[in-house]
Amino acid sequence: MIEVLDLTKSFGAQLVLDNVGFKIENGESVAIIGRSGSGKSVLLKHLIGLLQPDTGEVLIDGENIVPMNERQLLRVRWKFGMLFQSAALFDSMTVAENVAFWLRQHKHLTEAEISRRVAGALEMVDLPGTEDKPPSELSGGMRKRVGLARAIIYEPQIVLYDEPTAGLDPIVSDSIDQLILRVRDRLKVTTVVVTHDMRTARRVGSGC
Amino acid sequence: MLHNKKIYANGTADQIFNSLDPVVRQFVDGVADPKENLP
Repeated sequence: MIEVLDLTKSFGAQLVLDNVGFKIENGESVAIIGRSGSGKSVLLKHLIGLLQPDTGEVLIDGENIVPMNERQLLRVRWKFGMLFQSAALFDSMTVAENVAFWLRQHKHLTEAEISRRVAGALEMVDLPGTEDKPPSELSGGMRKRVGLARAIIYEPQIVLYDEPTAGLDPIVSDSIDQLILRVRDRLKVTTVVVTHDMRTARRVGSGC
Repeated sequence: MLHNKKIYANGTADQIFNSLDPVVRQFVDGVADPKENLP
C-alpha cells in the first residue's frame, strides 16, 4: 500500500506541493492528473524516494521512506518498476542490455536465466526478437515498450508511469494504454500513472 | 487531480469525468481560459 501524508515540497521559493495526502491500496490502478507544471511528476518521484519532501511522510507497505538512507531505499525500490517519460534507455546498449541492466547490477543470475527473463519481458510488451537492436533503431512507442520491459523484469509489486503516452500518436498511445492494463492484470501490480492525457486517464485509472 | 499545489479532486474515473466542478471540467474538456495569460 502507498500512503502519502501531509507532503509539502518547494524548490527554492517555489511551493510545488502543499500538504498533499492520499492512499493507494494494493492492486489499485490510479491516474494522477493535472495540468503541466502542477507537480504530478514531482509527486511521483517522492513515491520512490527520488525526491525528499520538505515535510510529510511517504509510507510504502507501512514503512516511512522519507528518513531512509540510500541503502534502505534500494530495498524498498525493488518493489517498484518505473517507466520514465523519456523511457531513459542507454543508447550505447542493445535492447537486451537495457532490459537486463538492473538484473545484472543487483542480482546474481546466470546468463541463461537473464536471457530467459529478458525474452519474457520483451514478449510481455509485444517486442519479441528485438534483443540485439540498438535504441536508435526504435520508434518512440517501441522505446516506451522497452522501458516498460526493463521496469517489470524483476517483477515489482508497484509500477509507476510518468507520462507514458507523451509525444505518441493516438494509435500508439492506445497500444501503450493496453499494455499498462496487460501488465496490471498479468502481474497483479499496483499501477500509478501520471498523465495529462485524458484518454489514458480514463482507460487505465480506476481512480483519479 | 492536482491543482493549485493540492489534491483538488479525487474519485473514480467516472466521477472525475462527469464532475460539474468548473476547474475539473475545464481540465477534462481541455478548454483554455483566455484571461489566464493576460498580464
